[in-house]
Formats: sequence, C-alpha cells, structure tokens
Amino acid sequence: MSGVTLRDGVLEVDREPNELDELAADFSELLSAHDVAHVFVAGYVAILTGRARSTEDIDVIVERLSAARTDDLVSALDAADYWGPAMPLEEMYGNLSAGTNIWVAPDGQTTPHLEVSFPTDRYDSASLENALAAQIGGHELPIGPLELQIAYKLYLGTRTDFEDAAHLYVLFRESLSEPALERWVEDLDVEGAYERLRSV
Amino acid sequence: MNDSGQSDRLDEKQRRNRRDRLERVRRWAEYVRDEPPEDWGPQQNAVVDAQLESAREADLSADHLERIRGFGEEAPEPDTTRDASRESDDTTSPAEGT
Repeated sequence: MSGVTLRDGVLEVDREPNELDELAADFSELLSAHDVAHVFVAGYVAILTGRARSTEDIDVIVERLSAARTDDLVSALDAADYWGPAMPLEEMYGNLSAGTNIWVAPDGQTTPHLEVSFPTDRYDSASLENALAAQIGGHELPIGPLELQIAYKLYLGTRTDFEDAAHLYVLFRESLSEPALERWVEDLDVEGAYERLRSV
Repeated sequence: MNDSGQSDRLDEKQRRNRRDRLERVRRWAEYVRDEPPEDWGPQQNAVVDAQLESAREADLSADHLERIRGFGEEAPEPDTTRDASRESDDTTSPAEGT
C-alpha cells in the first residue's frame, strides 16, 4: 500500500512532513495569503514524493509581479521573519526581473532555503499554469506537472537529475499521461534519455 | 600498465557504479510505491533532516555556497542523449538500498 498517490490531479503524500516540507508549506501559505501564484519544481518534487536524498534549496517559481507587489511581498516576508541569505530581500524585484534567483529563508538560516524566480521560459510558465495540488501533513502546495518535471530532469542530464527522473517515473508509471510526457520529451529533444528511462 | 588499460578499467568501474546506483533508485521507488508510509517515511525523513543538519553544522556562508554552484555551472554542458548519470554530486543516501 503506497503512501504516495496521484489521483484526479491531486498528489497525496501520507508521511510525516520533514524539514523541507515544513519550509515549503510555510512559504506557500504566505504566498497564497498574498495571492501570489507559485509552483514548486525540480529536486524538491522528487523529495516530496519519497526520494531518499536531501537538498539545500527548494526551487519555487512565482508569477511575474510588479515592483509594487514585490515590495508588498518583501514586507510580508520581513514581518514573518524571513531574510535573504545571499542578498537583501529589498533587492528582490531588481534581481527577479533581471532573471536572477533570490534566496529566502527563515531569519539567520542559510540551509535549507527557498530559491525564488520569476518564470524565464515557457517551461517555467507551463509549470505555473498546470500545477498539481500536493497534500502533505494537512498542508497543500502546488507542484509542477510530473510529466514536465521528468522530461526537464532528463534535459538537465546530471546523474542526480536522471535519478530523480527515474524515481518519479518508476513511482508514477501507471498514472502519468504518456502523451504529455512524450510531448515534453520531444519538445526538449531528450528522446535518447527517455528510451533509457523506459528501461529502468 | 598502459594509460589506455587504466582508462578502460576506470570507465568500466564508473559504468558499473552508475548501473548499481540506478538499480538502487529503482528499488527504493518501488519500495515507496508498494509499502506503507510508516515503513519508508521515517527512513526518508531521517536522510533528509540529517543531511540538512550536517550541512548546517558545516556553517558555510551563502557566498561560499554560491561559489560552489558557480563552479558547477562552469562544467561542460551535458549531452542529454547519452548516459545522463555521469556527474559526481552524491546527494543520495545509502538508504536507497533498502
């Protein structure tokens, strides 16, 4: 009996939250409270679904905000005792709009941290527009569609990325949309890596 | 022992290592898929939380972490059609062998 199920666009994870989950959930609740559309992507999605590895950063894409809305978000983060370990949060808009990710973490903490970005390409936008709801420990957070996560991991191509893709593929093989996965594989030109993945 | 022989042996060792790691990933994913979360959840969370604690104890600055990442980003671009599991960052736990 699995503790990870994907049903009707909702991913249910039935284990106790770990430190990464708690950080992601707290940050997600703050963003949602300020009506900021966002989506968690990359390695954290594999870890959320049971991959036995950790990461120092949780990647989260937020909708492209105006300078004024970004400043409101920075004020809310300050009030909630978050800081920018790599650069002051006050520089958030300038950095995000220039395509530079910004780190956000609870005051005084560097590891783990959120790595926040605006969407910079159509893959980021597709993750944001087609997010799934993931539920864990009474929290709900949006994650990127699994088919795109797998194909993008194949595109990135490091050993860790390929292993993340293999974890997601083995775990969700029966419930993934094969046409959607093949579309992203073709789009990202990773047919060779996908053939390897199918043999795992 | 000539250089070519040594290189072949290292390549074979690396290929075997990659195969073994991928096999462990597959077995762990099947374990997560098939067994109750009371079995695998605490094991996974122990790995996640322990690695974070260890990283915190190292007390590395954001500047240091950014330099490490910058160095990694200067590495050659991967060829996505080949064996994609060649890079050497090792963030996976031995628990995958469970």
